Amino acid sequence: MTNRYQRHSLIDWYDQNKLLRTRVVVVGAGAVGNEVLKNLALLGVGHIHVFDFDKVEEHNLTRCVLFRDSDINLFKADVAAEACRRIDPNLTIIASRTDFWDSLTLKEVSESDAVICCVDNYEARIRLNQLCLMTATDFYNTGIDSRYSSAEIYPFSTNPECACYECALPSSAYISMQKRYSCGWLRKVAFEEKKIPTTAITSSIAASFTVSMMLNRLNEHPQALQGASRHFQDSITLEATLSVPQRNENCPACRSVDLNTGIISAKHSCTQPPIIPLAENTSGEIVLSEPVLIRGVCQLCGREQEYCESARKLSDAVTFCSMCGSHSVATEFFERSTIADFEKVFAGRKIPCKFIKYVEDHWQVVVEMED
Amino acid sequence: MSDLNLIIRTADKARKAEITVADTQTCGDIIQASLENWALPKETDYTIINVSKTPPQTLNPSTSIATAGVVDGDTLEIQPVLVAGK
Repeated sequence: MTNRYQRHSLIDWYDQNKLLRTRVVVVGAGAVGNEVLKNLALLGVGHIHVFDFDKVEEHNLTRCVLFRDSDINLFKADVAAEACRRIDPNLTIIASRTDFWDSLTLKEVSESDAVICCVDNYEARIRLNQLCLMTATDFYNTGIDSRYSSAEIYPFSTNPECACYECALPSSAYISMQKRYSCGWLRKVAFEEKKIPTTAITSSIAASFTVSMMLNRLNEHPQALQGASRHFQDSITLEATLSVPQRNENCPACRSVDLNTGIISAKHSCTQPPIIPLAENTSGEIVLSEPVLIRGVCQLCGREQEYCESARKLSDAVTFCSMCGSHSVATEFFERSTIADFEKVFAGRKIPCKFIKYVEDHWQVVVEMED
Repeated sequence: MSDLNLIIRTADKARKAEITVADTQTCGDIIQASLENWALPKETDYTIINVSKTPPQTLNPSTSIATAGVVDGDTLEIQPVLVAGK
């Protein structure tokens, strides 16, 4: 090992070789993401995959340690990855300028030691939580505002029955989330996201505690947190709370994930076995990872249009009928059905979702769609 | 059903109240009452922590305070759910 990590080697519980083998997925390369990535690179974590589809804007420069003026209009993931390579050339870092939901595979999640969530919305947190729950991968969530920061750990790899991110989520969070969408999860074109004030102080606090939780677990520190935990820090009074989320038996995420889960992959266009090994039992239920728009019918002129697209990639513009000049199109979504109906709808078509799930012999089978 | 005497406070400790509530009330009901009585920012979502427990517990908003293990004299703290990260 080089002299680079000499000070780390003086820490009796610090296993640099283990960190060099560690794989971490970081979703979001904004204020908290920058701090997380900077910490991971300085600590000598070997493999990072960072996801962010946004570009650097001028206002990011007050909170993002890895960005400079010259980076404006470049992709955040690319700039952050390059800055991390400069911090530690031993680091292998992949930058993806995409929505993680499209390009982060369940296989990659399951092979990662940690997934760190540094996003700015509930949907991404809920989806990452779901992927980590299904693959029994440790999930770390961060959050900030101008005064407070939170760092949460959900150690699914060793404690698969611990509380998850959604267990303590208030119902108002789902109401807030729904404000961004019209019925059926079509994004509202006119919706403007509220800007939440944040500072480099709260983002660095959130990142420090989050990476520290991960570091302690990876190094098997005897005092590392073993259960789900939430660290909440007030940056003004400097008071903090380390609380334990209670598992919620009615949690939508926990209920949807059977502990005996098998994950296989299939082509998007395949509706034949092995996707549907239960084809003989066509009354069995199949659940899609997200609603798929399959049809729109104008309630005024009766014009009908066929679709086969994930609702999350569409906006409420599809409810507009150009013939009638009004939002009069009723939409039909496909989210769960019998296997027989599933085959009817998707026979010969690309299945536009991340995965489908069904139950077979008391096992939950998750079929991830691959391009 | 029984009544519990509790202390409710905000995360910044600027608001604090002693209340008496039925133990059948949900944790979400307490959050909602705090929001209304203290005129807390409505665009923020909140969670509730029982800071009297060791370690403190993040309570499920949908469960009753009795089911959540809250007992007479406990202090509950209303904390914002932090969504920003960019």
